[in-house]
Amino acid sequence: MTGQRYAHILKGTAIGLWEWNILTKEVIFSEEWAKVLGYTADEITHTETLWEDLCHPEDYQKSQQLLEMHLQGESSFYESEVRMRHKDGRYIWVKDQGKVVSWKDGNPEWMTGFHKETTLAKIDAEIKRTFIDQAPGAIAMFDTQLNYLAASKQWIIDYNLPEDIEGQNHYDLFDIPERWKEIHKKCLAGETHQAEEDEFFDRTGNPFYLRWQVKPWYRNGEVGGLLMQTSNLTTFKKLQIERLRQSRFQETVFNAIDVGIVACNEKKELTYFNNTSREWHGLPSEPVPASQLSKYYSLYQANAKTLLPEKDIPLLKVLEGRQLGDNEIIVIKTSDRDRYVRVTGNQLFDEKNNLIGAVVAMHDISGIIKSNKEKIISETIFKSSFENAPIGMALVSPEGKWLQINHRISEILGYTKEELVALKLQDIVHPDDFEPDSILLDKLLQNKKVNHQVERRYFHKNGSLVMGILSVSIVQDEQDTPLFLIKQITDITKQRQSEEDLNRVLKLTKNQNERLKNFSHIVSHNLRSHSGNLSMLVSFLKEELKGGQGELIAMLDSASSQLAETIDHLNEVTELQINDDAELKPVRLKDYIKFTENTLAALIKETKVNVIDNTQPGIIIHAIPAYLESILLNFTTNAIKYRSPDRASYIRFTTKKVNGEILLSIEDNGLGIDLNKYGDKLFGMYNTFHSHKDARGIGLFITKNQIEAMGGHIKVSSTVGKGTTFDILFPYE
Amino acid sequence: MNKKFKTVCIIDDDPIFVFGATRLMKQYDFSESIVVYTNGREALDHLKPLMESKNLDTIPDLIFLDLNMPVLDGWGFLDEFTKIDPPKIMKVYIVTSSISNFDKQKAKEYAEAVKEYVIKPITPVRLKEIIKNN
Repeated sequence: MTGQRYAHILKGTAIGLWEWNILTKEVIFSEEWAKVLGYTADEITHTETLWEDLCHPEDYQKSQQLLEMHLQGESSFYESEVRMRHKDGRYIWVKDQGKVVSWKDGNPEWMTGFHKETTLAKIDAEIKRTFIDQAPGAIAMFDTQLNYLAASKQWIIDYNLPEDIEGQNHYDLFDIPERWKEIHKKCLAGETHQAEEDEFFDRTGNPFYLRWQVKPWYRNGEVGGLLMQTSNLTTFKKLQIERLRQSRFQETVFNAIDVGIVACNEKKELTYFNNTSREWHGLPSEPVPASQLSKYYSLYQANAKTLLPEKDIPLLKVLEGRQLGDNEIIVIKTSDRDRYVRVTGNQLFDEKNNLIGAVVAMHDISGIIKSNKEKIISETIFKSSFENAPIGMALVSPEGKWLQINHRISEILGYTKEELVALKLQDIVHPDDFEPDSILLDKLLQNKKVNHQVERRYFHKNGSLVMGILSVSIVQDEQDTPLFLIKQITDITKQRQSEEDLNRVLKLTKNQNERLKNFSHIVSHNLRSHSGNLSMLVSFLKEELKGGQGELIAMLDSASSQLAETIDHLNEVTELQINDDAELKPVRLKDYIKFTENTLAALIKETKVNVIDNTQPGIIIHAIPAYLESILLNFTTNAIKYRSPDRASYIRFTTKKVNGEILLSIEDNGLGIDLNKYGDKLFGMYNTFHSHKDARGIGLFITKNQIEAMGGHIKVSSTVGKGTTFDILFPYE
Repeated sequence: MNKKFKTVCIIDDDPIFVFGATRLMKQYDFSESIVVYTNGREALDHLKPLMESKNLDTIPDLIFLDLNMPVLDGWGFLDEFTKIDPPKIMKVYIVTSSISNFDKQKAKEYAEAVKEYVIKPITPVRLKEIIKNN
């Protein structure tokens, strides 16, 4: 087959066919081929450079490359779109397609193809692409293979793509997940997919948010490719998230704080309660009109008695632009207590500065008010007790400065408060007692003591010495820093004086007692031995004179024995006075009664007095043994002495426990004593109640004193002619 | 003469009492010999060697002891005397002018040695009682 053979056929066809012999450069083209360029077939003279001459220089090179690629077998057919010069001088877009159809000796020989004008399509595409290019959003247009046909600037920017994106494949540029490939496929089949908001992650893992739409575009009724449109919501989304976080943060803060927050809108309708205000109030089930707010929420004036008038409700005041006072306090009565609340507030404006409401914060200051009240009370109490204290009180700074001085200190020291403040401590404290406050403070701090007490001598303004007890306590704050010292001064001058007086008296008494002891010693030993000697010598004298000078001797004898008796009494009395401190011992009462009976056995036998011991066997009393003996002897002797001559006499000892004491009763049936006559003298010294020859009268005095020296008591009951009972109470253990 | 006791000892610093006592003792044939010491120390200085000598006749049967004496008083004498183991019965009579209950009470603490508490003056009646009781 040769080119000649086809030439005629080609020339008659209605499409712009061409045939080209690659080896001989022979070209055959149809009438139509020339017509595309505005020529008749005759008007075009075939030359080797014909095509090159007609082709736009910018496009020629590109078309030659595409041709070469086909000839090398790299593409299955040749295709290029180039601008060619029309007969009228303008360039038109021409699409050229062809294919090698025969080979000679392994080389391509004949190639055949056609061309047609594509200017309109090209312009159309150009407009579309420009439209897409210039689109304000991110839009991209793809062919069916997802090759970029066009992309808007925004798209390029959003996805960080090169300017020259046309012809590149979407899947090469991005690692597109299967999910999307699936969507692309469905859209190519005619579906449209979109999402208002979708989360994506960029290469670095940061999230971004898109609104997107993918849909097919059509050419001649067929899907020509895809249109993708995205809006990057990331900035908006970030703002939104930020706003959400902020509002949550605020909400959390509002709910965490112990401040009630309430807001209203411009119509005075309550729009917001935080947790705290909700706890105070509860939530209304229906809107509460402004006029009912105070009543509904129990809002009172600071006196807690008067309901708040509508015009004074802080939230409404704020809404109306009226200023709240610095100390706007209202009382909210809740079920458990009255809350004192300090209110602050602000108006709320929208972005155009239109008033849209107001908000108030309510600080519960009940605790502060309460502690303030308590503080005032305790200060008042302290002040009055400080000022009126019967002891001297002063507050002193840790550096030793008088801060406060009460009235009593002025009294004790004789200075006015003003004078005292001007004086140094050295001026009023005795030099031997002076100790700076700083040392005192150190002592207190070191010993961790709160209180330190010492005796101090002060100088009164008039120069006299004041004896004082100084008690210092320290007042510290929570960090143990000393705030001040409290000094208390008690004036003990008078006590000291009376103590001294007492000591003097004591000393005097001691001396006198000592002298009494000596006296007693003189009496009991020297005086007695002299009188003893005297009576002995008198008896010798009596014997030697054998009745001569009888009367004189008898008188001497009588005088001597009276002297001896008086000395004996004197001795007993003095002995009693000086032995008050003799020791008490537990003794068995029964033993002592027995002893008395034995001692007086002869007398008892002679007088036939019946001694009856009815005491309880186990009775132990605390007694001074010598005294107990003396007491029992005395009572027994008395009972015998003053027995009745008319009847058989007895003396009876009985015991009884009475209120923790032992009552010893000594009862006789003797002469008895007329108590109406002698009652008050019974236990006196030198009283005699019986006209009896032996009556001496010292006995009961001694006995009573001995009993009292042992802590006991004595009582007597007696009927003349019937008998006497002595009741002796001993302390019992 | 049949004397009641071989030897009697008087410890007393009062010469009048000693005079009266010896006179009465002689009068009532109380003792063959009477030894007199003027205080407790002097008495002990002599009695101790005697008590060791075992010459029983020279050791007093009875001691009349005053309480109130210089150098060593009656109590001091008793304290030392009671520590010596006596070779024969030696009875102590406290003969004192003290009528103090406390002295009487104290005397009971020496009950082993002290036979009686006698208050001065010593009388024929008391002396006869002592003779009778021994």
